[in-house]
Amino acid sequence: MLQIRIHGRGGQGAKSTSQFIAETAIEKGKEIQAFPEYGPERSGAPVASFVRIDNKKIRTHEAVINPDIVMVLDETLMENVNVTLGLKSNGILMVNTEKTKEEIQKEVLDFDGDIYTIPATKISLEQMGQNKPNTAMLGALCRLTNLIDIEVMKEVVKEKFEKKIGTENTKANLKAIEIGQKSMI
Amino acid sequence: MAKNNKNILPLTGSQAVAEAMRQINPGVVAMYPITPQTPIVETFAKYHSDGLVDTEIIRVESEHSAMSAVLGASASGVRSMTATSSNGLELMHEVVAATPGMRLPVVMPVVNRAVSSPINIHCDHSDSMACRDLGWIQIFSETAQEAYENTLLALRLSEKCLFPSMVMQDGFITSHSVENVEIFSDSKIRKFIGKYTPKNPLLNLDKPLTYGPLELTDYYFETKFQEAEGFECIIDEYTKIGKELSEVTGNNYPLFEGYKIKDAEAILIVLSSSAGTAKEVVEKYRKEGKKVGILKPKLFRPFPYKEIYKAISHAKVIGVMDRSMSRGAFPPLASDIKIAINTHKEGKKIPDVASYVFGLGGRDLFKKDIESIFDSLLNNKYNITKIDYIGVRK
Repeated sequence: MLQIRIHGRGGQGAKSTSQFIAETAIEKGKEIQAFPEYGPERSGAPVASFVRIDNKKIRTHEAVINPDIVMVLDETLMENVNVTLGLKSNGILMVNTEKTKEEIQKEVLDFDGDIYTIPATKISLEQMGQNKPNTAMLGALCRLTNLIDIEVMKEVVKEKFEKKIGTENTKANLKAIEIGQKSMI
Repeated sequence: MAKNNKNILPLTGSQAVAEAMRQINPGVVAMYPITPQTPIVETFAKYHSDGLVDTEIIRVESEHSAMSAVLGASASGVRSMTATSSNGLELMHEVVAATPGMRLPVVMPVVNRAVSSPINIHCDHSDSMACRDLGWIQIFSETAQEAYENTLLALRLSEKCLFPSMVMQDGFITSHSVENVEIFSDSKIRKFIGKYTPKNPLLNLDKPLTYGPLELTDYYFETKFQEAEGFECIIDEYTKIGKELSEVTGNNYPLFEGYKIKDAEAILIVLSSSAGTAKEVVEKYRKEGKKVGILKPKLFRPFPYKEIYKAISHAKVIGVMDRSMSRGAFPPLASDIKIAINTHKEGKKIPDVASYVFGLGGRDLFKKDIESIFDSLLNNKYNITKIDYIGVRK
């Protein structure tokens, strides 16, 4: 079972990010669970959401304690939130940042696993003109696991976004997925 | 965009129940929002706007009005539904209590949430447990899939036995978690549901009726006695209707689910989503050679005392996990299990029953908590005269 935890700020799309991942996996016939952590819902406050993907039925409804992958949508969260808490020692930390891996490692000294960086905010500002880093981060995630496929991911995002934000903005997001996938270091 | 052969969709428990409501297409749905139920009526309202249902939606000013509207609509002779949680259910309590006396087959999804005070939006079962003695059929669901199918089953059961039903799912844990949910074809489900022919519609001018009349010392008791007698057919009808639904879905609808209980020495009994987590622990303990099992009641009112007794009587010890309290008494599920065992033992040696309260106000239940309960049961470290509180700071 693959377990992913996503850290973001209220309004940044942490919940929809978890749902996009789950919906992409379900298209490949996987069993999924996606759920947000509920607290006082305030724009800008630290929030987290979770995804489980497995080949067999997922029975547990326990909170995700030891994720395999942690995705950080907003690097400023790392000042206040212990994003590597419970992250498996051979797990993956992926951060939306323009900093280098070495600089991020200094912020999470106790973490021995792999660190990946993606300039997702920069990509989203260039493509959409808005700080909406989640689609670029989703593209990057597709490189880290074969449980989700980038082409399916694009289909899922397209279907969700087209009605909501129109064709042009959707195209920009699909482009962000592609660039995100290629830009991860 | 389901490309798989089966129509398997990523849905939350709330959306899954809204799908059941779409397929039922009730005559009237009364709506009042309350967390964590709101996404049910929100999704249903979307279906209504999209023209997928021709339900009359009544937007009311409180849950008391929601239940009143549904009661009136049901008496008039149409399928009527509403959904609620927590304090909303408490506010409508007066009308919830009035509904079974009129033998109205209302179906109400309940998303379980703690009740005030203190204010808390998260899951426990205090809300529906406060209604357990009112004459409603109560069915608990472990997953979004079960919540969907139980809603369909409840509709037929209510209409057959003329009692209202509550279909429970865990707030947030199930209601807001996206899971794989198989939605069965509209035509097959609608064939299962069938056309509704109300037994005694109020709007039948050829046969004028009074609903909810005054009955004092002369007849009230007889009406209540008829309810008690009427409830007796529900267990059999649940099983029969479950078999019919089974032909459509391929799934089974037992009164309760037993997981590795046949040879179990220690059995844990727990409702709803926590049962899934507990099954994982059972699988782990079984690999270590420990004889443990889980029993998850589904039909909670009426309570299948005899059937549950038969399934657990061979165990050495039973642990019962309640997600609600009864201050000054054993909690609801533990009480029922103690009664089940003591009324059916027929002089035989019976298992001990240990009572545990967990998860109030959404307090997380971890696998390690369930392991520690099994450990205490297997090592004789329990006290049947006391209630143990799991995961609380004492």
